[in-house]
Amino acid sequence: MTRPVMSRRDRLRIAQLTVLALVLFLGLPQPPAGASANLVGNPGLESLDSTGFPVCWEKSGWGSSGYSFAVTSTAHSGTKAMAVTVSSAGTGDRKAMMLEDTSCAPNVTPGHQYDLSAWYRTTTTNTVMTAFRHDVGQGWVYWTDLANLAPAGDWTQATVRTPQVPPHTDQIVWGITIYGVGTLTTDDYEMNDATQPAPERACSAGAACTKGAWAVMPFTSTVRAIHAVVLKNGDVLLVAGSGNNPDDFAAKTFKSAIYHPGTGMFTTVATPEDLFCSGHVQLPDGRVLVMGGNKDYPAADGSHGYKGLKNSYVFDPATNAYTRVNDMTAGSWYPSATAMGNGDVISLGGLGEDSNGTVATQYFSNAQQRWLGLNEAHQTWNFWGLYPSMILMQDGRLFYTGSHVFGNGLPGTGASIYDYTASTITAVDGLRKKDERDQSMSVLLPPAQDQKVLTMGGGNIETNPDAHRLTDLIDLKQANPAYTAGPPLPGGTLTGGTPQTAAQGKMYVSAVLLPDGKVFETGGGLHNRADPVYEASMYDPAANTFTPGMATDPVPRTYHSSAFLLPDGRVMAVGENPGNGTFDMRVSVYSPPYLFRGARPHITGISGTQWAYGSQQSVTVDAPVLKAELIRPAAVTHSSDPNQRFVDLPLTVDGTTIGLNLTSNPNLAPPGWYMLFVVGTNGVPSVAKWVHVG
Amino acid sequence: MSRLRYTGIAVAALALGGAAAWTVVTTHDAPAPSFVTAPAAEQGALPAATPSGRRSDHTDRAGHRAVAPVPAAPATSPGTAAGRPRTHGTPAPFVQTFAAQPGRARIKPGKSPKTPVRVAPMVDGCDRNYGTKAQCVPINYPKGVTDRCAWLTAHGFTRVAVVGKDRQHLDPDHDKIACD
Repeated sequence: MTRPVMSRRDRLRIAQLTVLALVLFLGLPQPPAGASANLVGNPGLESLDSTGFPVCWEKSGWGSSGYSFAVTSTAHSGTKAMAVTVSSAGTGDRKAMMLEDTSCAPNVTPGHQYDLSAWYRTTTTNTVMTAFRHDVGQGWVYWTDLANLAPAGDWTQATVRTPQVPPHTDQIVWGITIYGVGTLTTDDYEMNDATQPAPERACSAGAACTKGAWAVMPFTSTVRAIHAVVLKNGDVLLVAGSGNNPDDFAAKTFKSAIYHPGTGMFTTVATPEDLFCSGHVQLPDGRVLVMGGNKDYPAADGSHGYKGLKNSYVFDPATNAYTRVNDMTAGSWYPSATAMGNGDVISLGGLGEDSNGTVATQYFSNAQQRWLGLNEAHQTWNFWGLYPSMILMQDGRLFYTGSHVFGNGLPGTGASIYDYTASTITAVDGLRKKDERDQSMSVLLPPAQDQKVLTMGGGNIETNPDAHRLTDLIDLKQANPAYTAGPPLPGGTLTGGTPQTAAQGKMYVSAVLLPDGKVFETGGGLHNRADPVYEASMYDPAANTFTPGMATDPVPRTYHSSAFLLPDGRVMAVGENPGNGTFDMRVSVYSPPYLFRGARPHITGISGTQWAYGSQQSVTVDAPVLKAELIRPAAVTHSSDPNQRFVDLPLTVDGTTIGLNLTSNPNLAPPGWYMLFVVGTNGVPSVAKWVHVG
Repeated sequence: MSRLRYTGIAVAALALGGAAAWTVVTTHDAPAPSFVTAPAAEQGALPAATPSGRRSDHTDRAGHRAVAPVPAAPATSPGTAAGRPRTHGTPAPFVQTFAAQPGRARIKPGKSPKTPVRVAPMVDGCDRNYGTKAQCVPINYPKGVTDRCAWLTAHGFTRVAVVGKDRQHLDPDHDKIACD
C-alpha cells in the first residue's frame, strides 16, 4: 500500500485555502467601468520625432509673449515631459497640443463624454485645459475651455470630464495652455470614455412625457406683470408701474408685487414712479437695478409720443423696497440693460424725456453705485432703437442681435458688434427680414462658452405684416461672424384652431433656456397686439433643430407677455395685453417633459456658495450626473432678456462627489447670483441651488 | 486520489491566475481621479497672476472687465459639506480671439448730434386718434382686411371713441364713436 501524497488533513487545508482564494477573488472590487483604453497617442511623450519633439504633439499658441518649448527629463514617469515657458508678458498663449490629424487625434463618438487627465506642474494660475473638436462639416474648431488648473510645485493630476461630444464630431484634441508668465510642465496624458449608460426612461404621464404640460394657476397676478425679474431668493419681482393703464398713470397708481412660487402668494411692493417701460437687470449682489420708465403717454393730437424717465432705482429683495439712485444721463423709455463682466451695466437706446431717441451710452458703475456722467462714459452717439437686444460676448463687446421692439430694425444690416471701450460699431451680415424683427427674441444659446445666438421670429407693429417664422443663427466664434438661416419656427394655430399658413410665424416670442440645455420657445402673436399664436417647441442647440408640438399655453401670450425659468425647473408665463386695452392676469406654469421622466437628482452638499472665477467647486449628489451648469435668473420684458445665459460647468467626477469647474472669464458669467443645476444621466435636472459668482 | 490532487492543483492555479490578472489590471490603472487641488501652503508660495500676464489684446478691448473681481466673504454652506472648493489665486480671464472681423469697417464715434433723433409719436403702431391710450387701433391693418370695423369688433373693440381726427373714416355719422 502506497502512502498518500497528502494526508486527509492536508487535503482539507488545501480545499479551505482554495475556497478562500476563490471567495477573495470573486469578492474583490472590479476595475472601474470607465477604465477604457487610453485614447491619447504617445501619452507619456516618450517617443520623439526627428526634430526632438514628441510624436503626435505640436507646438501651439499665438501672440507676442516670449516663450519656449522644451522636452525635459524631469518627468512624472519615464524619461520625458514637456515644459512650456512664457518668459515675458504680452499677448496670447502657448500649449503643447495633440496633432490635428487622423493618426494622432483621438477618435470620439458624438454624445459620449470623456475623462481627460494629465499630470502637471505649473507656476502660474493662468493655466487652463482647452479642447478643440473636428467637425465633419467645418474642420477643426474650438470646442471649450474645461478647467483652470491650480499652481502646483509637485506633480499633480488634473482630470476633467468633457461635455457630451457635439453631433458631427469625429475627433478631438486637447492640451494644457499657459497664458501668463511662468512654466508649465506636463506628462502622462490620458483620455478615457466615461460615458454613463442612460437609464431606462419609464414615463406614465401620457402626452406630458414628450410634450410637457401647462397648468393655469387657480389665482391671478395682483399686478400687470409687464416686467419680470427672478430674484436670488427664488421669488419673482413683477413690475407694472402704471401697467399700460392711463387711468392708473393719471392717478399715480404704480404697482409692483413679489410672487412667491412656493406658496402662490403675492406681496405688494410700494412703487415710487411709473416703472412701466423701464429696463432692469440684477446687480452682482442680487439687487435689481431699474432704469428709466414712463414719464408720459403719447398725446392724442400727435404732439408728442411716449416720454422716458431719467429716474433709476435699486430694488432690494431683502427689504422688498426700491431705493432711488442718481438719475440717468437721459430719459429712457424701453432702454436695454446688459450686465458686463466687471459687474457694471450698460444701457442703450430708448426714448428720452422729449420723446426723441436717446443716443447716450449710459453706464452704471457697480463699484460707485451710480450712473456715470455723460462725459465719463464712452459715447458713440448712436441711436440703438427700443429695447435693443445687446448680448455680452466673451471678450466684453456687445452683440446687437437685431432683435428690438417697435417698427423697423436699425439702418444697415440690422445687426452689429459694439465695442464700448473702443467706441466702435462693426456691421454683422446675414440677418434676414431685419425690419421685421420687432419683438422677435434672441438668446445666447447653451452653453455660453459656445458663443452662438439664435434670433427667432418677429414682425413689425407699424407695417403690420404677418409675423414670420424665420430663425437666424450666428456663431460668434467665427473670425467674421454672420447670421445663417436656422430652421423655421414650427407652425401653430390661431384662435379657433385655424392652422397657420406655411409662411406665418409669430412675434412676441418667448424663449427660455432650460437646465437640460434645450431652449423652450412659447407664446406669440401674428399681428400688432392681435391674433395670438398657439405654438410651442423645443430647440436643441446641439442638433440645431426644433421639436414641434410641445404643449401650448392655454392663455394667449402676445404683447406684454413673458416666460421665464423658475428655480424648480418649470417655466412661468405671465401677461397678455391685446389692442382692445384689456390685460389677462392669469399665470401659467409649464412643466417640461424632463419632469415626467424619472427621479430628480439632488444636490446633497455643496462646498460653498461663493464662487471665484477659475475655481473648482464641489457638490455631492445622490445619482449619476451628466452635466451641471449655472443659469442666470431672468430679467425679462417685451421678449427681451439679453442677460439670459447658461454657463456649462465641466465636471471632475469622483463617485458622488462632483467637482465643478467655473470659467475664469467673467464675460461668460458676469458676477451675480446664479441657479446651479445638475442634470442626471436620465436627463432630469435637479432643483437649483443658488450660488454667487465673482 | 490523483484526480482529487489534480483538481486541487487546477483550482489553486485558477485562483492564483485570477488574482494575478486582477493585480495586473488594477496596477495598470492610474490613480483614481480626484479634484485638481494643490496644497494650500504651496499655493501661498507661488506667484499670483500679474496684470502683465493677461491677454492684453482683448483686455484692451474691454479693459474694465479684466479687473479681477474681489471675492466677497464666503457664504455658509447649505446642507452637507462636499469638501472644500479649490482655492488658489484668481486666474486672469482666459479670453479667446473670436470675431475679430478682419477687413470690416469700424464705425467710429461722431460728434454729439446737434439735432435730436426724431421718433414718430405713434411709434407703437397705434392710431392715437381713436380709443383710450390703453387701446391700440392699428395704423395699418393686417393684409387682407377690408372691413376695419369688423376687424375691430372681432378683436374686442367696442364703442371706440374718436378722440382726434377720423383719419380712418370709422365715424361716418360723426358722433365721435367709431364703428357704431
